[in-house]
Amino acid sequence: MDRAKQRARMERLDFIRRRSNPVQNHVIDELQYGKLTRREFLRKGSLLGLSFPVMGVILAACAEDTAGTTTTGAGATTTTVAGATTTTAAGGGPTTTAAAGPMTVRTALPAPAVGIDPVLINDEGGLAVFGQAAEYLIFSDDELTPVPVLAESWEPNADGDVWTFHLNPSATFHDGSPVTAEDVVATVQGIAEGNAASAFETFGVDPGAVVAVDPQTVEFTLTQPNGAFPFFMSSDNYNAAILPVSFWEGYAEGSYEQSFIGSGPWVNESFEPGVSAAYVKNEDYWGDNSGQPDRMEITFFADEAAAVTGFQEGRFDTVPHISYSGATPLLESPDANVTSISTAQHRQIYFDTSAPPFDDPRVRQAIALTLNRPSLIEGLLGGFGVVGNDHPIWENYPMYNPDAVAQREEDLATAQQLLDAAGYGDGIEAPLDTLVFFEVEDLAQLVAGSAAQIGVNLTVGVYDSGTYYNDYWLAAANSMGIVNYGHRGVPNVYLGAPLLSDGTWNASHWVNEDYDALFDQFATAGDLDTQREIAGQIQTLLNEEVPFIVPYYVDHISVSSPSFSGLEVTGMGHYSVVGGSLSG
Amino acid sequence: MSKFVLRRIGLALITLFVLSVLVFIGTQLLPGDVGRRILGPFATQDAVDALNARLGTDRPVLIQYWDWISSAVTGDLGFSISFSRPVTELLGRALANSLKLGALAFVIVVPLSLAGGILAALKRGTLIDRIVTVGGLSATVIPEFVSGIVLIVVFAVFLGWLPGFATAPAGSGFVTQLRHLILPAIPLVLVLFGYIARITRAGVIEALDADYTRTAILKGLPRSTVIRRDVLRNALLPTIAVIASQVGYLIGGLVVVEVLFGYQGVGKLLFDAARNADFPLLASGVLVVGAAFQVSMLLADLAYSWLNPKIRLS
Repeated sequence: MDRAKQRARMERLDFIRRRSNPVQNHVIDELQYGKLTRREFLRKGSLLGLSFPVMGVILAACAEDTAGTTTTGAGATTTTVAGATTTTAAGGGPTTTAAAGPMTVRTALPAPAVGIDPVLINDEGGLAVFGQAAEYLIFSDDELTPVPVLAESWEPNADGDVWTFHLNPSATFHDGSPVTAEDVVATVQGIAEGNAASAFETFGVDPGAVVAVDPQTVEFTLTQPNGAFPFFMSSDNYNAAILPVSFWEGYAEGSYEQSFIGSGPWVNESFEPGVSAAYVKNEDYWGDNSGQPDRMEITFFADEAAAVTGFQEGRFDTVPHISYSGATPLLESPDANVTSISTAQHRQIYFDTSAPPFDDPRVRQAIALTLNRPSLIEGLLGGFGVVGNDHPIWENYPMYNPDAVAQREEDLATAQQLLDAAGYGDGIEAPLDTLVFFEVEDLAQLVAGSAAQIGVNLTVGVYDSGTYYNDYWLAAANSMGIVNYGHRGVPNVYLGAPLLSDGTWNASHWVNEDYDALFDQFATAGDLDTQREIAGQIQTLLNEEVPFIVPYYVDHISVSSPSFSGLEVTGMGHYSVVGGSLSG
Repeated sequence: MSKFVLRRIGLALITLFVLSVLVFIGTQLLPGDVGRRILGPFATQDAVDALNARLGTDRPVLIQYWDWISSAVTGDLGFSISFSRPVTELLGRALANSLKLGALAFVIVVPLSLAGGILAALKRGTLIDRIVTVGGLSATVIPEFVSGIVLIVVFAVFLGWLPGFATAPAGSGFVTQLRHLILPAIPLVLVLFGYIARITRAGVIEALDADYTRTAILKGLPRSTVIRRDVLRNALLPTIAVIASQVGYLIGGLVVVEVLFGYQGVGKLLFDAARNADFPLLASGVLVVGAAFQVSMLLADLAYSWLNPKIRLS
């Protein structure tokens, strides 16, 4: 590279630095001094509002090898390659592979538990349907990158407690009206007033402090600094798709299904609860959807076996999410491409730490040491998962600290010693309560079997989800339980409500002031280096204290026919076939 | 006759009222509250309370019941709490689906089991009799989910002859819909065949051994005439009652088959309603199934009186 070009690039970098705020400059520093990889920089930079073109300039200036952009997913694994060709455009929506002729993509989804309503949806089927016609400010993709959608850029103030989002001026709703800052404000306030499951208060948002600065700019003043705030306004907060002011003015339970309005690439054609839905291509989409299939049909299933049967019959081109047991008949089939992505979804095996016998950390450690985690993953998930280490900071999070604490492995001798030292050498009798959910019931039996090896006899109780969450989950007394936590782009939710002394989902009843202080530091940390350092302390503390066991993280499995490619999924349960194509 | 019908309708209304009270009490016994079930486990309690207040599920149970029953008698079955749609709309579609599946099963099983039962009785003690009675009994004790899975694996997956997913694509014609319903109808046929065939067989045998049959034969009437006029007319009386009693099951009790074959009928809808503590949908659905049951029993009674001269409903 000649010196003139190098100089020109450095001048451009200086120019960018002058226009960037201190937090953004800190990320650039971290890249320049080798503390961030290129992928981490792209992720962190986009989180802080640096656009992809700007980040391209920074990367070019900071490293000699600047060609191309990274395409490797954060921990993404593929069992059988489906040949997906979808890419994400810099600063825009998805671009798609051109398709030849009219095309209908047929998918199968779990039936939404309740109506499609931006306030009420709280399950995978519901959010997957909702996300077809409606769009978010930001899409949190399977690589944990916040991809701009309705917001083309965003940035925090120096303290990280005021975030400004700049909307894409070309974005329009299906009725042709532009997506404005007023719509964003109405959406946040509408959901908050409707008391959505994903209450904004949890994320430090005061709905009254969301202001439309101008038609294309909206400003969030948070109750405390939050370095990961864009994730909370992304598809991770699945209720928060932006809908027009006019919708919110007439909002009532069920009103969304009258119009299915949104700004997305699909327009709803029909919806029959529990049966099916159909969408057609939005010909007036504000983004580039030139290669989008013409039509998408969704068939809902109550039982996964029905979806598998339908797939085997050729009734569906793709089933975006399927359990390992559901995928088993298809794993060796030449007519099915089974793919998976690694996710942060995990099960928490919690203890009631407020009373004997589980108030003694040695007892909790002992039980954690009885588990053979690789065997659990192999037996329960067919290998579609990664081991956990009794904290919820997934190894693919950029702030995960790999040097913090060694992986806990099965060690029955040490487990017995710990139990003896705690004064429970004669054994323990306790309940282990959980719910019917994928493999969790079997996990409970295996945990009970493992614990029995050191004289801990657990009586497994399995309940339907309503009974479990109402009567057992937070009411755990002298007992253990197992609960599921879905995927999130950042671990703040996992580290907050289930672990803080006053956390609303603290089933362990664990009280630890040191942890509370660490969490505050973690949530408000502006730079990744600091966050990783604090994460290391959190990992160590939780691994020692074991308020709950995290035995493994669960992969998200999808299945598609060999003739279909272009399925995009997230660990959260969103999916897109906008870039899909059919052959043959 | 009209007095009888009116009395039966009156009794049916009382039965439905008692049924509605029982369903109402049952929904109150379901664990968890409605708001929690709709918003999910991670919603704040404030959010749950606010939703319960909006839906009216935090009101005294008697008021909720009165609101619902007083509207129901005018034909307004209310609004589904979980699906935010009119109950009549949801129930209407599901009922239509269940009727299609039930009707197909009926069309297959009734003539089949009647023929099987009559043949077994006429060939009493022969191999045919054994096949019908033992085979029918064996088929009856196979749970629907077992026969259903076997049918799916064999005929849908391996042979690919029939679809294993019962819901036909949108806009499908009659033949396509029928094709999708054949496999789910078979487990129902298997369950009902042995029951109806055995009752038919017992009735025919009893009629064949009756004095009036012997008299008719001694009078020199042709055997076919005796069987048609004297045997079957008397033998089918209990069979009609048995068939009528299965209508409720075929309309509202097919949860397993509907879930297994991916079919949105009344059974699955009621199952979802119970899971979501969706009282208006659940109670209305049970009432509709109960009403269908009552109507079928009334029709059975009328047919009974027509076939049996000894019974005079007037």
